Amino acid sequence: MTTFIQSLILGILAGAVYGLFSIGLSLSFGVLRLVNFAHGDFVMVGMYLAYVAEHTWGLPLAAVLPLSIIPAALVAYLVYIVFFHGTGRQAEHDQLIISLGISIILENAALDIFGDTARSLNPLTISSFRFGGLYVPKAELLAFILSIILVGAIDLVLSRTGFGRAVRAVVANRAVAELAGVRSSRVFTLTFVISIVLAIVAGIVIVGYLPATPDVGSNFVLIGFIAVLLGGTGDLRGTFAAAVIVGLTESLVSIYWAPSVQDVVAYGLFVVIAMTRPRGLFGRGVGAIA
Amino acid sequence: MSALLRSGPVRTITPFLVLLIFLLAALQWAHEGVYEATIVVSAVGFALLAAGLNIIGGFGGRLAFGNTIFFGVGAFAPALGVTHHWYSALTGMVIGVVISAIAAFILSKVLWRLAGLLFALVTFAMSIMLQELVSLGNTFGGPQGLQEPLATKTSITGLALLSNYDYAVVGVVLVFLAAVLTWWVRRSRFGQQLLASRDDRIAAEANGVNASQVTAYAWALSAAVTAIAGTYFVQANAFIDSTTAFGLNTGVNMIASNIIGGLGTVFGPFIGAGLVGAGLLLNRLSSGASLPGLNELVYGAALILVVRLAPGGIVGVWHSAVQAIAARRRPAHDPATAEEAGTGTATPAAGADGVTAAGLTGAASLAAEQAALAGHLRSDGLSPEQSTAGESGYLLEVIGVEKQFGGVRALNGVTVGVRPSEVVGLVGPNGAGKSTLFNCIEGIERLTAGEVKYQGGRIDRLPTHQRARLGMGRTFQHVRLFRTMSVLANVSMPLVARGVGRTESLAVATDLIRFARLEEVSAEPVSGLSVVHQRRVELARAVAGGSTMVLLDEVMTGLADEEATEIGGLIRTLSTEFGVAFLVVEHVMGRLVPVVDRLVVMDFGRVIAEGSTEEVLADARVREAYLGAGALGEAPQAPEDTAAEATGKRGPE
Repeated sequence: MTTFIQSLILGILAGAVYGLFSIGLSLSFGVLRLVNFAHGDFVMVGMYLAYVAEHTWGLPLAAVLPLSIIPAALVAYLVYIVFFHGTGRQAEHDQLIISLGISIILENAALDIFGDTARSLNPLTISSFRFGGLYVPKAELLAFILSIILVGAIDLVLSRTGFGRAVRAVVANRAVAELAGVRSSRVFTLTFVISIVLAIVAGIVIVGYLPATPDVGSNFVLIGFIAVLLGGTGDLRGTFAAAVIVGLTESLVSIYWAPSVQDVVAYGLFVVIAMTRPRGLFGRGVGAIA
Repeated sequence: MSALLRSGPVRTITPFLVLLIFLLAALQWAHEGVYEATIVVSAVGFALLAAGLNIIGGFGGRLAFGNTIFFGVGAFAPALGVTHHWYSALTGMVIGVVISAIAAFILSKVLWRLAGLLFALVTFAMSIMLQELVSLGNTFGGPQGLQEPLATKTSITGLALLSNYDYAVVGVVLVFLAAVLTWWVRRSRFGQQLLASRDDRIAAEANGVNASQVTAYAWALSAAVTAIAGTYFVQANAFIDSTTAFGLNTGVNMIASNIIGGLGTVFGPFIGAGLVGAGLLLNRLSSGASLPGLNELVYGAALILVVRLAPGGIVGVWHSAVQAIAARRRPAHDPATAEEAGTGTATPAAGADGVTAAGLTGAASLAAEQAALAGHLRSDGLSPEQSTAGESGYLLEVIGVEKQFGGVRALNGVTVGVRPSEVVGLVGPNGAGKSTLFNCIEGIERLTAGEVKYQGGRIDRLPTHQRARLGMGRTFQHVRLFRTMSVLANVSMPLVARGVGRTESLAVATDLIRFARLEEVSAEPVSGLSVVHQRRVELARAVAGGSTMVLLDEVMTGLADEEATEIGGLIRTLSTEFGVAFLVVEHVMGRLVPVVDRLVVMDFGRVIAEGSTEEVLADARVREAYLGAGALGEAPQAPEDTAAEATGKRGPE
């Protein structure tokens, strides 16, 4: 029983962080129709950023987080302007290839700069809260709390603000939204920036308990796609819930079966659900069906 | 010279000759050493992989990222047999190809409803899942993969050759065969239906194309080619592991070759694969540098550059350049170039003018054309039996049809009949259920209850394409044409789908195009046509397969009065001269009245009135539905004038 509860705790903690970068992926998928294969690599960028900040500049995680938001947004803005601006929602294949190109560039740049040895932060990794026979790792808990706050904030922005309305209008019908005065190009840019900032922030908190390697992003992007599609494309809450389900599944499978099969089970789950419920687990997704 | 290039066979053979010269040059280069031969062998692998994807991703419009599944199956099938001494490599190749083709066929059906991006992702996830699965046990060699013993003698059953150069020779032959196969797919009847399904799945089905079946066959063919690429890879390298077989990098190279060269073109994937192979060469030349990721980094950047600077790939850019030059040289229409434009980069055509003039002056030759057309439409192979009515005397019968969407009852017991060669107008306010009724008749929506009969037999369980082949044509509220194809290709699609021979279908389509006054733009891609031309193309296409019953959904909407009158005239002619029956949805009563024999009025998912135009327009319920209860005044004496104003808006909104 303790084992079961323990694996639930770890699964939920991991899942919430999956949710943090997955909703970014869901945003760019839903709004820009961008299958961003580089999304996981931006998580990787965040991980190395926090690593460098701590090791080279001696900054604590708590300081890195707020300080990195504006540079991250700038980087995201530049990436969008240089690589994606003007490709439009029509050229879905082109966008996919561009994101693959960015992914290759980021991974190999990281390889050139940091080599392929795993890099991790020191202090938080080991310590955890203990009660009963259970333990809650501090780094994971911190990441969990931050994820919940950020996801909640994004949800509020999308449901309550003018920007959120503009986003939903552009998703529903771009031409009509533009006629109604929405500047869709700005919506696209902002959405992309938010999406990438979320990925980088997720990386910063993840490196507290997972070492950074140049190719770590590909695991994240796969988990992200699974969450986005299970949750239903364009359904942010669904995506978050699905990410938690993926985290739980992986945690349970790795404890009760074997860590080596956790990915297989997650992908299998995804394939089966995509075939049986193309609108996502909660049936609220859009754009998945022809 | 340019005239020679434009003529058919030369145009076809020239690119093959160029490919052949290039392949022979590559072989010559491969002869220089083991290293050179290895590069050629790798490029051949990419080319086969890319050609496989192009069939489903380019021609089928479904970018199967997970085509690597079949590369892996094709590679592991012989490797398993050889390393475990179960069976020979040749047997393994056959097993791999057969399994891949069958699996792709079934997967295509299962994943049919998934839209483009999701389809790409789901297949990708399947491949990654296989990668993880295969690396688990020892059967597939675990993470280290399987190492085939090096060949000691050339063997056919062992698919074994002694040197990399020998593999390069075989590979070059395979690439050439793949190019011929791709070319065949592109121009065959099968390929035409595949392209139609890609351009517009619903329009394809409504014109008799079994879109899901055609796409499934395309993916099976694609998978078979990809499996051969896998076998070639494992035999030439004597090695396969799960990451190479199913992993992301293989998928990226496969897609990159297509995108760089030109997805959906015959030769693009091969050009792209050649460049990716050349990239490998650069990679090797500059290796050993202090930055291990630099070459890959350049590869990534090059990928982005190509997509941003050369949309449509190298072949796409080539086509645009050729067209730009041709357009500058010959301002007038030239069907030869316009027809070719159907492939990737459809340039908007300036063909609006000439045709209206033809519409006005061509009446003299009409009689002769009609005679020719009648001959075609009524010739045995084409028209579905005779235009037989059921026992009731109706050709099409809709009996008590209901359609429920969640809590909304869009159709509530609709009964409508159309007799042979009768033109029936279907009117009603927006939301009355007219388009839903069309979709139910055509099979795009399933009925909740009721029956649809055609020629006395029930058709409401038949798939759309079968109903179309029985002789039901259709136009759509928003024009749905096969946008990358020419007018001629659009109009001949129903014939192609019915298996009519090339010559005959071209003859029929040409006659219909003349009848619809489209001969000036016959070879133009439809995407550049004006709305009135597009509507006429759609009308011509709807009757092309020998349809005896045609559903027209707002075919006159958005047209000027004279254009609408002209379309109305076409409808009347088709009905009286050729016995085609029509069910016509239209908002503007004044345009409908001169065309129809009878009117049916719908509101709130029911038929509220039916009869001759005079009877229906005098009906109080009709006027209430159209004008609102408060607007009831004098009964309209001249239906054309009064009702023409009632453009289908429910009174108080």
